[in-house]
Parts: sequence; C-alpha cells; structure tokens
Amino acid sequence: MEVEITIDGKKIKAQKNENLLRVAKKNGIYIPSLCYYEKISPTGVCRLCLVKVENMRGLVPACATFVTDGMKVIANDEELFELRRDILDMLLSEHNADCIACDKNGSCELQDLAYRFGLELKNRKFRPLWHELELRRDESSYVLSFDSSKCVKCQRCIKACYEIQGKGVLSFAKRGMETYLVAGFGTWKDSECDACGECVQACPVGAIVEKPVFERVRAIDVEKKVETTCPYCGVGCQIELWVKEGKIVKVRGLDEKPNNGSLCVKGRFGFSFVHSEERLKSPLLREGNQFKEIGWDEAIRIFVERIKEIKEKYGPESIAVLASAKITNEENYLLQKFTRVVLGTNNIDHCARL
Amino acid sequence: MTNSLEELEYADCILLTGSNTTETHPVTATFIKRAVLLHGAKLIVVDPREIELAKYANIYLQPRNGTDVAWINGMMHVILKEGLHNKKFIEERTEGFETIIPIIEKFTPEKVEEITGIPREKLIEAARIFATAKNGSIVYAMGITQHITGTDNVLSLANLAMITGNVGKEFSGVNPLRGQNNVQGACDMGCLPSFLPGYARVEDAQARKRFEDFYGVPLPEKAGLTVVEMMEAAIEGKVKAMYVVGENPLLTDPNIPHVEKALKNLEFLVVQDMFMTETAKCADLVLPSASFAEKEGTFTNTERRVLPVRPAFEPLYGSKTDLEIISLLWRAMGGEIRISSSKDVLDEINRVVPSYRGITYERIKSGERIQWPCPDVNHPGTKYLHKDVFARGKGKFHPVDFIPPNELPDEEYPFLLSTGRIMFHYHTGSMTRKVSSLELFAPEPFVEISDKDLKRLNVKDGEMVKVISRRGEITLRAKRSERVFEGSVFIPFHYAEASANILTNDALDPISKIPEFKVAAVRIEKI
Repeated sequence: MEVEITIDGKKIKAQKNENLLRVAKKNGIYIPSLCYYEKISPTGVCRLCLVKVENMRGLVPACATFVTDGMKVIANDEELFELRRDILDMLLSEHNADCIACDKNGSCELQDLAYRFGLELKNRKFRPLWHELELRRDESSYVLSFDSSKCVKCQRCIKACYEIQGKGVLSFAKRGMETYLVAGFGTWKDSECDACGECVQACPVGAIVEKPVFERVRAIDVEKKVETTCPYCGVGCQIELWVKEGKIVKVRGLDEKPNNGSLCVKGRFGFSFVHSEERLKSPLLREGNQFKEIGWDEAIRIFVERIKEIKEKYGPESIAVLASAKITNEENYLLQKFTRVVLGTNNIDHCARL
Repeated sequence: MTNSLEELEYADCILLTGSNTTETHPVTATFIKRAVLLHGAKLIVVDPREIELAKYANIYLQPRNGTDVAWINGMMHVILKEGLHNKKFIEERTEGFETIIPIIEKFTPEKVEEITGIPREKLIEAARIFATAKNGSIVYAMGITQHITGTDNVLSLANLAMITGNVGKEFSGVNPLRGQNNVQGACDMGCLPSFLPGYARVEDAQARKRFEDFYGVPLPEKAGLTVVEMMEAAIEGKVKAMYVVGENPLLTDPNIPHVEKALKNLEFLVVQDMFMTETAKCADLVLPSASFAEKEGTFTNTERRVLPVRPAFEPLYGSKTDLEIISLLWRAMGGEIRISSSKDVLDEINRVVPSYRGITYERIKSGERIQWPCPDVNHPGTKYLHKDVFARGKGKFHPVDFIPPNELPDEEYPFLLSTGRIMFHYHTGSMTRKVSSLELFAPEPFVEISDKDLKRLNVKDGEMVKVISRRGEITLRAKRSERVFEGSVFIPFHYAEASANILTNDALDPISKIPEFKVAAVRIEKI
C-alpha cells in the first residue's frame, strides 16, 4: 500500500512498512549509518541513523523504523548532526585508526563517515582508547584475518553469517567496551566456519579482511573490476574479479541473481589457479615417454593430419570427442557442430553423468 | 531445475535427497538454510550420510545406499493410504496414475524398513509432512542419479511430485542440482551423443533435417557413444582417436584401470586443457587452453539461467580460448567457417535453439540474466517450468519397482562405498588443488569410516589404510566420521594420489548410461 510521508519537509511516496532509512536513501536524503546492511534484519545498534519522528518518543533509529501514512520525520538538523558526530567520535576513540596501512583505506565506511563529519584528530572530543583495550587478533583461518582493534561492533558479520549463510558461527564475547567478536568457541580455524567470506564482504571496516593471495591489495589499488560468472559449480554465482597488474587479486560476490552477493570458499578464494606456474605454456607433442614443446601451427597441422588419416582408414565412427561442462555455451556449440559436420560423427559427450 | 534457486527459500517444505548441498552447491544450501531458519519451512533430508543439512532438518531418514525407489514408493504408499494425494492435480494434469498403484501397494512401511533400514514411523512422518505442505519442493543431485537405477529414481521422485501436486507452480517442483558450472549449457548445446542442440533427437529424421538444412551438410544418423561406451569401444579397437576438451576422464570415470587401458589403446589422443591433467599425461598431443577469466561467452546454470562470462585479460601463457582453437582446427580441416567471436556463435544459437531464441548477445551485454525457455527477444524468460501444462501435455506416471544395486557388500568386500565431493575441492582438483589456501583446508585424500568400524578394524583415526575393490586398491588416511553409518564408507574423488574411481563400479543405468558411483563393495585393510 502506498503511503505519503514527509522527511525534512519533503513529501515522499513510499510503501507502507518500508524501512525508513531505505526510503530516505532512495529519495536522496542522506542519513548516516554503519550497522545497517540491506541483506540482514535491521540491528539499530550504531545509533548513527537516529532521527526525530513526530509523535514518537525520543530519537528513533531510521533503519529499524517502518513508515506509516502521514509520518513526519526530521532526518537532519543541528542537534542530530552534533549527536551523530559525538557518536562517531566515541566509535573512533575505540578504533585503531591507523588508516595509513589498512587494507580498507579508501573503501572504509567509518573512514568515509569521519571524513564527512570532519573528525580529524584535532577536532575530536574523546581521546583514543583503543590501545588500552585487549587486542584480539585471529589469524587462524586460512583465508581471512580478524583484528578486534578495528571492529566497530556493528554485528553485520554476525548477522550475515546467520541470516544469509545460515551458519551462525560468529558471536560476541564479553560486554561493554571489552566486547569482541569470536568465531565458534575461540578460534576461526576450530569453528564451523566454511570460509565463505560473507563476513568479509559485510564488514564496513578493516576488522575482517581477506588474507592476501599474492600481496596485500587495497580496493583503491585495483585497476579493473570485471563482472563474470564463477567457473566452479552449477549455481553460477555472479562475481566481480578485481584485477591488478594482470592478476586476479580479490573477488566480490555481485548483488545479482542467483547468488545476491553470496559466494563459497572456492568462489571467493579459489582463483589463483589462473596464474599458476603449472599452466600449460605451449602445445606439446609426445615423443616416446616425453613431451616436446611445439608451435601452434605445427600442433594444428598434426591434429589435422592424424585425424584425417584415422577417419579415412577407419571411418568417422572411430573418432570420439569429449566436450566440456566447464567451457562456454558458444564453445560447446561450436565443438558439437565441428564433431558432427567436420568429423562426421555423433560420438560426442561430456561429463554430465560423472 | 523446474524452479529457480530463489524459490527454494520460500517453499513450505523441501525434500532433499542425494545432495550434500552445503559442500557441493554451497550457495544453494544458503537458500535452504534460510527457508528453515528464517521462514519456518519444513526440511526432510534423506541421505545415506548424515550430512550437515540433516542438522537443519525436521526429520532425517538414513536409507542404505541404492534403495531410493523403495523409500520413495513407500512415501507414496503412505500418502495414498491416508488419502493425502492431490486428486485434483492427478485428474487434471496427469495420466497413468492407475499404473503405479499395484506397485505402490507393495511398498508398505514395514517392507520399506526391511529394504532401506528407515524406521517405519519415520517414513510415515516424512510422507505426511511432504504431502500436507502447501508448496513442496524436491531437491536432488548425483546421490539420486548415479545408480544403475538412476532413471528409476528420478521417475519415482517425479511420481511423488505429481501425486502431491507439487510441480508446475512457484516454489514447487523437481529440482536436480547440476554439478558443473556449465553442464546444463553443454547439454543444451547438444554435446550429447543422441541429441542435437536444443534436445533435438539425432535419430529423429525431421529434427535432423532442420539442422541439415541449416548446416548445409548431411549429418550422421546414428546416435553416438556416451563417455563410458567410448572407453569400451576404445578397448575393443573401434574408437581409434579421441579429442578431449577440458575433461579429465582418468579421474572422473568409474573403474580407472579400465579407462587407462582404453586411452592407451588409442592411436591418437588429443587433450585440450589448462593443465597437465592425468588424462593429458596420456595424450599424443596437448593443446593449452585459456581459463574462464580469459574468455567471453555464457554459462547456463542449474536453474536454466544464461549468465555472462567476461574476460579479465587476454589468454595467459600462450594459451588460446577453446573457441579459437576449435575455429583453427575447423579451418585447417578444410571447412568453411564464418565465425570469429562468441557473439557470432550465440547469434547462431539464437537461430537454431528455440529455448535460447530470445537470449541474445545484446540482452546479455546489457546485464540481463535470463532463464530459458525464452522464445523471443521480448520474453522475460521462464522462472519455473510446467505451468498449466507439461512439455508432453499430461504428466505421465511411470510404475517403478525396486532393483538392488549392481554390487553389494559380501564376505570378501564387506563395506558399502560411496564417492562424492567436498567443499574445498572441485571435481578432479585440476583447478582447486593449485590454490594453496584450499589445499590447506583439505590437503589429502581420506576415507570416512564410522567409529564402530574403526574399532573393529583396529584402526585409529588418521591412520593409513588400504581400500580394495574388485577393480583395484588405493591407500589413504582413515577419518573417523559420524556421517557414515556402520558398514559404509565415503571417499572424495578429487585426489589423483588415491583416486576413488580406481574402486568404483562401471555398471551403468541402462537408459541414462550413468555409472553407479554411489554404491560399490570394498574391503579395508590395516597397513
């Protein structure tokens, strides 16, 4: 049902029970947020999206407020700005803001907020406290690292693990300022983590990051992002390959069907084979028990000679082709046409049954 | 799949069988987990191994390997006896219902318990849950199909879907999970011995003529050989040359010693791959091909969605894309070929494959991800199949009786072996085993054995054992597992150093020609 609401004096049409933060965003009204993540249920813990709603007591988090007809909202005023800046200031005092060597430098939601609110060191009310808290690092996973000094306790990872992946591996330990993220009963490696990396993708800061495949890479170092399809199983997850110096350095799940951003351990961390030194580097011809490197022209010539000879001698049914469940539709189409039209046989199959 | 992956999340009941989804299709498993955890769906898991999803299930049934027809018929027995079948759907949408009744009547819960080991109360409960769900979805994979009765198993599941009216609507249907990124596409494109592109039968003269007219040449009339039959023909000396593109039969096929003999018997073996695979090592000529990240084209996923493949860079290390290699070979063979890009090929596919007619290069380029059938460029694609009418008109019931597996344990080979994948590796590992982090997660082969059997064998968790079948033997580490039942073992087939397929049986389903990977008899020896 369509309803009309007012935000900062602007009349806006929305669907009843739509999330207020999302409605504001869609209509170009900025409300800061950190714990809100579209794919999980609203958490309302960072308090950055607090707004004033007529006839509602106190300040309410926009991310956990659902619109009703005639709702009147103040999303931005002096008081809210000050409040949000103080909240951010407190978050920063607990945050290891050593941005200079952080993986997320340039793509960090907290850094963006601090910049927007002008919270350089000289402008902060609260002194840095983060180094007084116990540092919890977990390097035990083979694919990701956790650093508690960068964690903003937004719970996005915890909820992504449960509400998106259905795993529930992550939770908080301790209370108050000492709260920290824990996987399983202690370490990532001994937990039931499947290493899907949903938490990495959900983390707004540099608390959970991928371990480097070749060398450390920040988003800002990436030269090219290529949208393609994962080559592993039949789900066909949509991925974005991050390329630097001709190498796949990171992978993101794309918010498209069928996977809506999710990936598995292979689809997120399993692409270094592309750059493996074991890749075949030239056509090879058998000579006894050895292989000899040959050029493409020679390889093509040998293929044609031998295949023609066998076809002539034994007939087309003496040739068989295995197509591939891993190559593209276009390649498979061409290969079956080649087999039937040029080789003259229906002896073509692939590992659909295996 | 008759449905879309996203529909799984909103089914009221999911019957999952023969699929260890969390490991083989991890992202698909997230839809199932969310259905259970967030939307209150009922999950029934039927699998010889107590897989992770069994923990999410309302009810878990553990049948003996290869007894699927029995428990599916048993569920239908209960449904009919209790009058829970969907009479309206059966009446309006199907035919041959009466033909299955005599067989179904035989499969009483008592008899099913005897064959499968599933306690009768559990079977009855599962049947009630599935039959009373508003929208029930059946999800399966190779655990159903890789049997000599693979076709029977699938027909039985189709019967179950039809008697409960769970097909042809949103959230409900029969949903096989395809294993490889483009196994659906390879089938759609006619890389099958008895089908031309778009599933036109090779032996149907009319269908063939359509392609002959289009290709401008007469096409071979007789259906060709399937993978396993090719190997047999190579041993017999009938097949002399093989051209293997991006496949590794020396790890994937059953009864490896037999495959090795076949490949060695060839006069000319060409392997086109990214790596020196086990099969490539046997080749006379090896052609280096490019990876997915170096090519343009499309893959078709398990829900019939045609997805874009885009190059991140040019082919590495002097390799060429498969498209380029095939084109080069074609021209060198003296053929005329007017194709220079994947776009040209897709244009042709649009013209000859009716279900792909509207899935054009331009639409894919603009970001559309369309599910076939898509008969024209304005068609949005098809979310779920068989709405209102089945492809053949009415859904046909097939009476299916239970046939035991080809090879069962005996005194000499007392254990039931099944094989499959694990999460951290993929198929023959030619890609994943070169990724160091994935190797850290799962560095070496293992055999899952129950605690009781370990004790009986006097073998400790982690000790090396020999596993022996009638075909051969392998040596690998024993792993204590709560997933397998007493008397059964499981081995992943990714590892060349202890290839599970040295042990597997190459008995085939007579119709689909699929090998019985999921049941073989083995013996385990302490070293």
